[in-house]
Amino acid sequence: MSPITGSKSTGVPFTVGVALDGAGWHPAAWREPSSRADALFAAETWVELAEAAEADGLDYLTIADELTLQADPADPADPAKDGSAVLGRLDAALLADWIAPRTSRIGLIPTVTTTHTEPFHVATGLQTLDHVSTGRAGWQLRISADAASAAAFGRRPAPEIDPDAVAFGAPDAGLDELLADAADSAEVARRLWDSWEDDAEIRDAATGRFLDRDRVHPIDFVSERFSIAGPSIVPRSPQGQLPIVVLAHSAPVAELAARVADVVVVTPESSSPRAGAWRGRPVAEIVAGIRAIERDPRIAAARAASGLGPLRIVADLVLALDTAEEPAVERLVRLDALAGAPFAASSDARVLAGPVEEALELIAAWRAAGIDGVRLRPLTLPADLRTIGAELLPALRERGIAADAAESAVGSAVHAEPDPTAHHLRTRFGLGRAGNRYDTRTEAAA
Amino acid sequence: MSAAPESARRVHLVAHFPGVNSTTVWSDPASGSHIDFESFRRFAQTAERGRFDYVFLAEGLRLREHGGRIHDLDVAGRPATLAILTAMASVTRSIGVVGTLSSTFNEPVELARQLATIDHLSGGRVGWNVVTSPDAFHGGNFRRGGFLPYAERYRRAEEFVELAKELWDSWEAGAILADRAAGRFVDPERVRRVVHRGPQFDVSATSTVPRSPQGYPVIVQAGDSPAGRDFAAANAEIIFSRHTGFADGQRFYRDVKGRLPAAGRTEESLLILPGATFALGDTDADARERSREIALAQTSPQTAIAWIEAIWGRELPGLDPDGALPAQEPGDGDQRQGQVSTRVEDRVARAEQLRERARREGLTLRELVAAETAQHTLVGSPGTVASEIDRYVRERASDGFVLVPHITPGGLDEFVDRVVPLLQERGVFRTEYEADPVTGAAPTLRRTLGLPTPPRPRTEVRRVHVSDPLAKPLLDDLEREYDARYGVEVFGEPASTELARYPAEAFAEPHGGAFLVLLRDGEPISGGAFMRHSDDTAEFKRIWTRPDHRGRGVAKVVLTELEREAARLGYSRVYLTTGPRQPEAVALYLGHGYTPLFDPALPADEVGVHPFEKPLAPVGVAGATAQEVAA
Repeated sequence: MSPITGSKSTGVPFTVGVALDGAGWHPAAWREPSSRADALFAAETWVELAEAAEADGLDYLTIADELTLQADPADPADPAKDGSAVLGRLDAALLADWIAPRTSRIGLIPTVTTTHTEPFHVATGLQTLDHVSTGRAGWQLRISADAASAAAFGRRPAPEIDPDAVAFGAPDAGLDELLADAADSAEVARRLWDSWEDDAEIRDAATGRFLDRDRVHPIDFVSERFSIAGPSIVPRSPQGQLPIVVLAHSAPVAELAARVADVVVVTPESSSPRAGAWRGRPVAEIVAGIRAIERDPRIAAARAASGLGPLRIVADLVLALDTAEEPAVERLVRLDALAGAPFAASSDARVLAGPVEEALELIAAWRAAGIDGVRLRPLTLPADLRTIGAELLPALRERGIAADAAESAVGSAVHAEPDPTAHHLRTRFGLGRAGNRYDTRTEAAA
Repeated sequence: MSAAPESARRVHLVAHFPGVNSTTVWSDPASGSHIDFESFRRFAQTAERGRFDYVFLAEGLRLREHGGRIHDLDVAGRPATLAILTAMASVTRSIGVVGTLSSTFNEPVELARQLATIDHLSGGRVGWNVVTSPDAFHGGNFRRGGFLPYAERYRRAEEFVELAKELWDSWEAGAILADRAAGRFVDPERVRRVVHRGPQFDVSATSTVPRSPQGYPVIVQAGDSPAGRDFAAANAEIIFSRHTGFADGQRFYRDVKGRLPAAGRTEESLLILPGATFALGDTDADARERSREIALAQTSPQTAIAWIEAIWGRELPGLDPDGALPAQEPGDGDQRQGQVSTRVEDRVARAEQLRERARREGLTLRELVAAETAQHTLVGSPGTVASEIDRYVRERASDGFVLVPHITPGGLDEFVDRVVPLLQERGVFRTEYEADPVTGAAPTLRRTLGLPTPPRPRTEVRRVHVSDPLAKPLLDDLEREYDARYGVEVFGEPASTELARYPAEAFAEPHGGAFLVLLRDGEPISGGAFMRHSDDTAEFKRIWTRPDHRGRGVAKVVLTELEREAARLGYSRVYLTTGPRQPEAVALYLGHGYTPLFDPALPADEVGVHPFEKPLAPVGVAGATAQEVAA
C-alpha cells in the first residue's frame, strides 16, 4: 500500500458536540412536561433538535443506537420491564440520513454497530450519509457484546465476555476478539471509502468509457474473520474518509480507538460502575493513558499507515443547566425521585447539574488537562439542549474555548466562493483533507 | 379528480431512478450527477409534482465486471438504498419511496428495524422490493459470503419476510402510553418477543422499533420464475414485472391474478406494474425519430461490442461495430459478472438467432444490439402515450407502469409536464394525493396505491365447554405430551386418568369454573381452564400452547385472560400446580407474578408437584386482554 499523504492537521480546534438519545439521558427525562415523550419516533421531533443544535452553532450531534431494546419487557428478570423508561429506538444512521437534507452545517454522527452487521452495508451506508450531508458525516463505532444482540441476529454465538473482568480493566479474550473484529470492520470501511479515487468518473465519449477503471480499486480485505472483495458500490464521498469516533471506558477499547479512530470519547470523573475501568479517574490521567497508547510504536505505525493524525480526545458530560424557572439541581433531584434511583450512580459519564458558570469552569479545567472537546449529553430534551445552545455555548466562546459564532457558522454564504470543505466534519475536528491510500498519483493529493 | 368514464381503471405510475446499465445515457449534455444528492432530490420532487405513486431505487451489491475487470462503459456507482430512500422521503411529503433490498445478504432483525424506521420517519411511505441475490460474485462483498442454491434462495426469502412481519407485528399499536402521571412510557404487555426457529433463521428478538404507521412496508416483488410467481401470490402487493408487451402483459396479468384466490387474496390486493422506457415527441413521427436517437446513444460502439462479447462468452478483439456479427462460434466464459440479463443458457443457439435477425433485417452489429436492448416501450406524442397507458390498464395488461427515464436527473420532467396532465384529463390518474380522511396527514403509500390493509393474524379468546371440538386438539396434545414427559412412573398413572378426573361441569361458569381457548384465525393455538379450589381461590388447570406457537408470549396472554375471568367470577386468589419436568411452565409462572409454594432451591424432581399462588387484582386492573392484543 502506498504511503498516505495530504492528511495534514491544521491545529486542533476545541469542539462542542451534543449527544442525542430518546428524551434525554435521565431515565425519567421523558416525564418532564416539556419532553416530546409522545413523539419520540416522529421525524419532526428529531429535525427540530438538529435545527436547534445547528442554529446555536454546535459542531456535531451524535445519535445513540444499539440492536436491542434498552430493556426487555419479555424478560421477567429485567428490572426495567415495567415500562417506566423509554423503550425503543429508531435506526440512528437512517435518522441521520433524514436530518441531513434538513440541515446544512452541523456534523452528523450516528452510532452504527459492528460485530453482527455486514461491513459492506455499514461502510456504504455511512458513505451515502456523507454524500447526502455533503461532507458532514461521521461514524460512532460500537461493538455488540451482549447476548441479546447475538440472539436477535441468530448468526453467530454470543461472545463469551466476563463483564466483571472487563469493568476492572482485566484482559478478556472474548472482548479482544470483538475489538479485533471491529478493527477489521473499520479497516474495510476505510479501504472501501478510498476505493474510488476522486476523479474515477471520466465520461469520455471518445472511448465510450464512463469510468477510468484504473482509478477504482478492489480492496481485497482478508482476515481470520472474514474477507471482503470491494470496491465500494458508492463513489468517493465529499470527505473521502469519515471521522470515526469510539467511546472508550478502558484501555483495550481506547487501543481500538487508537488503531482505527479519529476521535476517542472518554468519561472522566464518573464514579459509577458503568464508567468502566477508568471510573473516577481524573481527566489528566485518562489523557496521559491514551497518549501513551497512541505512542506505542505498533499503534503509531498503524495510525500512520491509515493516514490518521493525533487522536482527538473528547470528554462526555451529562449536563443540566439552571433555568429562570428552576435550578438544575432541583430538576435532577425531582427526576431521580421519579426514577427511584440517583442517575449519577448509573451514568457512565459525569453528571453536572448547576449554573452555566460551573459547567464553564469544569470544561475549562478539562481543556487545560488536555481534552480536545466535549460532547454534552442533555439531561432532558429539548430543554437542556436549549440552554446549552443559548447560554453555555456563548459563554464558552466568550472565554475563548469554543470557536466564535462567525467562525463556526462555516459554510454560510458570506464569501463569494465558500470553501466546500468549510462545513465538513473533518474540518470541525481539524483533521485536514483526507488522502487516498489507492491514489496512484501522490502529488495530486499533496 | 374529474369523473372517470365507466370503464376507467386507476393508473399507477412509478418513477425509477435511472440505473447502472446502458439504458441510462451519460454522454448526453443534459446528464447530471448519478451520486450527488441534488439529483435524487430533484428526481423525487419531480415525481411528486407529477403525483407518482412512488420513487423506486434498485440496489447495488457489487460493481459489474466485464472480462474480469470493472465494467467501465455504463454509469457505475450508486448510493446505499436505505440511506437514499430515507433522504428522498425527507425532502418530499406524499410520494412513496421503494427500494430493492436483498433477502440473501441482509438479516431480518436489522432490515426490519431499518424499514420500520423509514416508515416512522416518512409517515408510512416506504416499500420493499424483495429480491434474492444470485451468486458467489455478490457474496464476495459480504462476511456471510458464498451464495445459496436457487431453491434455497426463495425459501430464505419466504422465511425472511415471515420473520420480518412477526417483528413488525411484535409491538401492538398503542403500546406506547407516554403516561407521565402514571410513569408508564410503554405497556410491556403489548411488546412481544419474537422467537423464531426455522430452517433459515434461528432468532430470538424483541423489536427495537414500535409499530410503524403502515404496520409494515408495502411488499414489492420482481422475480418471474414459477417460484417467484408463487412467492408474489403469497406475499407481494406489487409486482415489478418485465412483461411490457400488451398481449404478453395480459397473459402474465391473468396468470398471476389467477393465483391470488388460492392464496386467499382479492384481485385488488396485488398490483402489476411492468417497467417501461419511453420516448416522447410533438408527433408520433417525431417520437419515433427521438426513440432512434436515444437507442443509438444507449448503444455506443463499445457498448454494442461488449454486449456481443457477453452473449458470445469470449473476448472478440477487432470486432467492427458497424460490420457484421462475429463469425466465430461462442465460447463458454462468463464475460459479464453482476448482471443477470446477459446470462445465456445456450450460447450457440442464441448467437445463431442473432445472426439470423441481423441477416433478415439487414442490421449492422450495433443496429442489432440497439434493436435487441434499446427498444422503448412507450413511443409517441404525449396524447398517444397517455392513451396507450390507459389502454394497458383498462384492458388488464397492467395496473400502470414503472417508468425508466434515460437521463439523470431530468429524464422524468417531460413526462410529468406533458403526459401526466393528459392522464389526469382522462380521469384515470390522481390530480392530488389523497390525505388521510381522519388525520388530514399525507397518505401512506398503501393508501396512495389503493391497496387494502393486509390482514393481521386475528387473535381471540373464546369461552368453551370441555367437550367443544375447539378444545379437543389442546386436550389431545396435552395428554400426548404429559405421557411423553412423565410416562406413568412419576405420578403412577397415565395422563388420561388426570384429564378425566374432574367432571366437565367443574370447568363451567355455574360451578365457578371456565375453559378458555385462544384462537388465531379461528384455530386453537393455546388455552387453559380453572375450577373452584375454595370460595376465594380458583385453581388453574390445563394451560397449554401448541408446540409451534411456543416461546412467543402466547401462554402469557392465556394466563392473563384466565386471571381476568377468575377475577370476574369473584375469586381473589389463584392456586395452580405444575410438574417437575415442565421448567418452561415454572418460568412462565415465576415471570408472571406467581409465588412458589415450594423451595425453588431444591432440584425439581425432589420438589415433585410444584404449587404456586397469586393474589388477583380486582377486575379492570389486569394487563392486556386478547382483544387489545388483536387490536
